[in-house]
Formats: sequence, structure tokens, C-alpha cells
Amino acid sequence: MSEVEVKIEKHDRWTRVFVEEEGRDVSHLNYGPVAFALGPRAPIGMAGIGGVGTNPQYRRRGLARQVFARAMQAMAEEGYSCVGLHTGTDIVAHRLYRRFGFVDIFVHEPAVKVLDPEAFFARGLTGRLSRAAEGAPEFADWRCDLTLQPVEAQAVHLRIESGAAEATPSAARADLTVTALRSILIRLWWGMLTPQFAEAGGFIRWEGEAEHWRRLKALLSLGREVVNEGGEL
Amino acid sequence: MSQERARVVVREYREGDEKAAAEVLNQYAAGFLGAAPVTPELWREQHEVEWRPPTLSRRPDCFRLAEREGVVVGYAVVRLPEGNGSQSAVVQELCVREGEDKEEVAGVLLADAEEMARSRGASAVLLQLCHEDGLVRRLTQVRNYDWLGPGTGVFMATVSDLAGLLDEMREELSARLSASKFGRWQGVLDIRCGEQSARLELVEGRVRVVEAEAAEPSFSVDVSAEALPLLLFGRISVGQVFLQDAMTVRGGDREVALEVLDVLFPQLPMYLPVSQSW
Repeated sequence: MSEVEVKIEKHDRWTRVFVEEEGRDVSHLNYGPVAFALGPRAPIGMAGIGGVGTNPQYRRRGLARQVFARAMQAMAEEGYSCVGLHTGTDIVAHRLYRRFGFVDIFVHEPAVKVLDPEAFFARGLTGRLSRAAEGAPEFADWRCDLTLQPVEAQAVHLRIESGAAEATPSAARADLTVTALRSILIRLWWGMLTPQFAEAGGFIRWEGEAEHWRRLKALLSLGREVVNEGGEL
Repeated sequence: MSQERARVVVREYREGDEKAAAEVLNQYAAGFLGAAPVTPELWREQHEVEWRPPTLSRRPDCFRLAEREGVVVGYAVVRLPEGNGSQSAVVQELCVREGEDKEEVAGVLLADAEEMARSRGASAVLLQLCHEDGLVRRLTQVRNYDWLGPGTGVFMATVSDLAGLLDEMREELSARLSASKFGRWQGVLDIRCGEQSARLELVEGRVRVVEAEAAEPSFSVDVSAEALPLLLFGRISVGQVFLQDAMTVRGGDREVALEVLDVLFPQLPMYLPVSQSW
């Protein structure tokens, strides 16, 4: 991979490090001083990196690596004692950061309370169905009476029809019943867990027609594909 | 007959609250690594960032202050769904003053956040709080929240100047040392990690970074590049690092060396407030 000219531009609080091609900024990041403390008496001089990105057409040419290397050198010259950044463990950039000596310090752990289970699960499915409509027409004519049975809460009955899901008062005979801990269902709905993993690990049980289960698994897997394709570099 | 305490009431932010809010944050965050102490001006600035809504000037109603007898005892920042496709309200901060009533105050603030979320049609409330805070863990248990396990969001760091970082930490290290049984221990400690190294001098409970001279240190430690940030950022204990073979100790009494290191670099909970993210 050829070496390119990496430019540095000082702004008010942030410094922009970037590569230009044909007059366009095609790979870049920003850094600057951020608030951080290693104890009540230890505010430290940390540089924070943000806005890392490479134009999709220019990826896989080593540009991000060169931008990053130049930025790390500049931050060291400016006397920062450490460098921090927020990112995701499921994107390609995470590997690049590790190569530059970054270590996972703190993995965020969210908590959630579902206030309105019918709306929560129905909206989640409808959102996925509308996204799926573009690339996966098999969902457009999918009709399914689905019962979600959280182990520790009341069942939620949904009807999937015409590319949307809505709550129904009760399903006399659901086409598909899915039983799991509420937290597992939420993680599936938010794409934090794949249905394949949940099934293989015995976190989830289903009863009903296999074809409905196959489609639901495919639908719940969509979000994760989007995340995995969304590499920054 | 005991006198009944005044109720905790919650109201929205008003101009001038930043002084009390900054005090609350500083007191709450003192128990954690990560969050930096703020002045009232900085607290305000950190809550006026356009790309990190809500902001004080646009949505003062999202900044909820808990008061008891006119004194601010806690606050919460709640991001509400605003027709952007999100159906969840997000509690981005929840800080309370130290005191016997802090669980009650936190509970009142969270109940208020849930009520706001319901009234705006949110189907769920997401907490972006410190999962390493026992208060938050107890509160979520009582109020029927589900912890979803580690997500994909991660804070990463690397140490680019070991001696410089230890110098910035010297007051904190001194406080840790003087509060321990090694308060009067004297010695010189070398820390090395790849090409980086630093020498710490410990005298009468004071810690300072000194130039490495010819004299032998009391003991020296070599830490792996992977383990160094975890150790300095309180993510892993000295014992873990040692047992994982990511640290070697030379010279002196190894048991004492490990104990001194454990005092200087304890494993501690971390809190990274949304308002200080970038």
C-alpha cells in the first residue's frame, strides 16, 4: 500500500487529520483534549479521538492506518499522556485501534424497562419489516399470528401482515409462540443477540410452524447484518 | 415523636442550577474513575453540545432536578423520543448527593423519568448509567429493569506517556498511599512497559515521578502493553495481572511489591457520563 500525504489542520478545539484525493477529504479523524480523571485528584491530559471515517470508495487502501499513525505521532508530540476513543466492538475499526495499542477499557452495559410491551415489540418488528421490504420481498406477504411469552411477564400477541406488525388482544391459536426471558427477547429485538445463538444456547423455545420461525429468525438477523457491514474504514 | 422528612420533589432545570448540579456530579463521580470533576461553567458547557441532545437551552424540561427543602439533592438527564424513529426514552445521567436518602432520591428521579417517557409515548426506558454502581443496580432491580449484558459500545485507551501520566496521577497516588498501611513506607519503584518507563519515589506517603538514576530501585516491574492501561485505569487488579503472567517483579520482597502496587493501582468502578463523551 502506497504512502500518501496526511494533512493536519488545527481548529479551535479539535485537530483534523486527513487525506485528500482530487481535492476531496477521503479519510479523516479528529482529536482534541477531553475531560477524564483517574480519581478525584487526578484529572489527566487525555486526547480523545472521534469522527474516524474513510469514504467507502477509498477503503482497503491503508489510508485510515496512515491517518491514525500520523495522528498518534502528533498527539505524542503535543504531550498527551494517553489517548481514548469510543467505538463499537463489532466494527472493523476496532481491530485497527487494537493494532495501535488501544485496549478495551470499559464496555457499556445498558438496562431497559419496557413500559408498553405491545408497542415495543410491534414497533420493533414493523421497523425491521420496512427495512427488509427493500431487499427481502419474502416478508411483504408474510402473515403470522405471533405470541411472545416472556418467562416473567404476560404474553404479547402480535399480528404480522402486509409488512407491519400490530398488537392483537389475544391469539386463539398462534402460528408461532416464542418463549424466553424478557431480557433475551429485548436483546433479540435490539439486535444485541442473534436468534441462532439464542436457539443454540437454549435461551429460547418456540412452538408452531417451522417456516414462521425461519422467517422470524431471518428478520431478527437483519439488524446485525447492517451493523456488521457498517465498518468505518 | 420523630418529625417527618420533607418529600423529594422533582422540577425542570432553571437558570443558575448549574452550581448545584456540578456539586452533585462531582460528589457522585468521586467514587469512580473516568468522570472528570467539573466547574458550574463546564457542567453547563457539557450540556449544551448540539450533537449530544438534549441541551439545556433547547430542552430544559429534560434536565430534572430533585430537591428536598429547597436543596438540590440529585439530578437526571432524560432524552425523550422526538419523532426521530426512536421509541425509547434514554436516561443519560442520574446523579445523587451522598447521604442516607440517596436511594430514595434516585428512585424518585427514575420514577419521574419513566413518567415523562410514558407521557411522550415512549414504549421503553433505556438507562445509559454506570452498571458498576451498586446504587444503580439496586434501583433497577427494585424498578423492574432488565440488564442486557455487555453491549457493543466500548471505550478504548492507550498510554502514550507513562511517566507523564503517573506524574498527573501523583496526588491521587499519594492519597491512596497515605491512606494505606504503606503510608510511611519508603522506596523507589520502576515501572516498565516496552520502550516506556517511569520511576516513582515513595516517601512519607508522598508519591512523585523522578528521573531514573544509577541507584537500584527497591523493585521494578515489567508490565505487558495489553495490561498497562487496564492496570492504570483500575480495570484489573494487580493480582490478576500477575497471575496472568502479564507482569514480572524484580528485586526486593515480591509480596511487598505486589501489595504496594495494589495500593497504588486498585481495581475501581468506572463511570463515563454521556455528557463527557465525545
